[in-house]
Amino acid sequence: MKEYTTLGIETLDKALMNGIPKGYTILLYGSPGSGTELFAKQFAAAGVGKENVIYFTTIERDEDIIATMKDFGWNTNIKIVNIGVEYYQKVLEKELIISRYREEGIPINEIFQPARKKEEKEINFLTKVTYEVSKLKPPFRIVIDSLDFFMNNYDRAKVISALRTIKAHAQYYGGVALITMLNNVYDTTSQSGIEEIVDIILELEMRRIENGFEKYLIVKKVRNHPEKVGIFRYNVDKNGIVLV
Amino acid sequence: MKYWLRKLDIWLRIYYFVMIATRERCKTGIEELDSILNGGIPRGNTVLVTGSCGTGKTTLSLEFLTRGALMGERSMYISVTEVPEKLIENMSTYEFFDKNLVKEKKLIFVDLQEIYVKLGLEKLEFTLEDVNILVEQIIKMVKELGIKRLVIDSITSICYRLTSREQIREFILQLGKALSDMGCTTLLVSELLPSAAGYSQYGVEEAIADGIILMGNLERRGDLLRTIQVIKMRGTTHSRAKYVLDLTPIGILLAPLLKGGSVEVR
Repeated sequence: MKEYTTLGIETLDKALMNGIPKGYTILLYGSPGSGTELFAKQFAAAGVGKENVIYFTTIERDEDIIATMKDFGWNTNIKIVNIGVEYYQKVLEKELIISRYREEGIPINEIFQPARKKEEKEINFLTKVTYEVSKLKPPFRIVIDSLDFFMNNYDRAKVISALRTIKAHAQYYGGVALITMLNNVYDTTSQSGIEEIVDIILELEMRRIENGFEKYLIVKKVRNHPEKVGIFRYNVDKNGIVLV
Repeated sequence: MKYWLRKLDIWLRIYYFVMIATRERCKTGIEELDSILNGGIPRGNTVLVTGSCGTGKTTLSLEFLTRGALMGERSMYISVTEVPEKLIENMSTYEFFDKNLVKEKKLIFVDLQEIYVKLGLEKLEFTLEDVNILVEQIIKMVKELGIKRLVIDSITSICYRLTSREQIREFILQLGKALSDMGCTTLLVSELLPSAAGYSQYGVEEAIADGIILMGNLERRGDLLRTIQVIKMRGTTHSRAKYVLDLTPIGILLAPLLKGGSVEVR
């Protein structure tokens, strides 16, 4: 018998199968400004207390994530793994210094300082994510916001393979995972490769109307339940995202 | 007409002689070598010190720098393949070497691998931009530290990362010109494969350098001698004879080569 867990949006749970089956992986498409990040946080918060929640972020600072969640009154007891900050410290900062040195030359007093140590090898952030996921104790809930960072920095085939690992892990232990990604920016092979792996595909879309935006949540794929796909309108109120 | 030509010829000869005689020299500090060069390397020259391994290129270069530092000329050694600490340790066996020169920054060692890391040049092949950045960096160091004597050991391992002969040419020309303008006398150490023809690995270096000092091995009656020969040196007259080079605790000594029973090995 299948066990279910919540997405964090009650009305969406109802529209699906009174929640989502444990072990499912969800792909969330969204255009900038449509609220994918908020969705991710709402989803994360819904697991607090019942599941071990891990939140990989590639864009935001930890404090911004926590602050947003507090604004909506959500429980913030989640583990945040900040790939963005680490990427800056380990890679970008180094590149910044290198580009400055290349432009201006190395200042004389820094010639004799040892360069960064060799053991500071390049970190594979993709491996880091799968490693962190592998350490999770079930029941767990994984959020990756967003996959775009990995798609842009690593071999696409490797990203897909890592996603498959994460999905298999979630499936085996009955955890749930939410992955956010931009739609229609990658080659079709990669995109369909990802779509094929995940169990549910959601998309947030905004349409310009006369005096504002209309927001739509599109359910594009529900594994084994083609009848569940559909379009819903949503709003953001003080509780977060709600379907109307 | 003929008279005028002859007169011009004489004047040109005198001018040339005066130029050579008055051009400031950079004394290597190795006495016999200075006398071979009629007083030393013309200041600002870029000289290729070339030879196969074990012929004493690094020792010669380091003595050149140390002697310079002792004479108050700030000297810099850019090492590509060896760690400075090891080189300093090796030099300590020579009487003239004083570790204080290093401490007081009169003799400066720079590990090029560290520079590579800082400039993002840890790659096998350099682009033209990379080459320019490296040249600029070397020039910057020479200028800001007031370096009068420079050794790059070895130029071959830098050239190894350049992708074409044109790049090598560009690199050495650009570097040589800037160093010469700053009055910095430079030795470029060049590794020669025993099988190589010519005086340098890529054939380009030798054509551009202002001078070539060839170091080699010579077998004589079961003994392997080191030899040294000044092949070319712009801006001075010099002997082109081959000399035997001896590494002694007081430094490098040269003696005229007695040729009987010798077989050249590279």
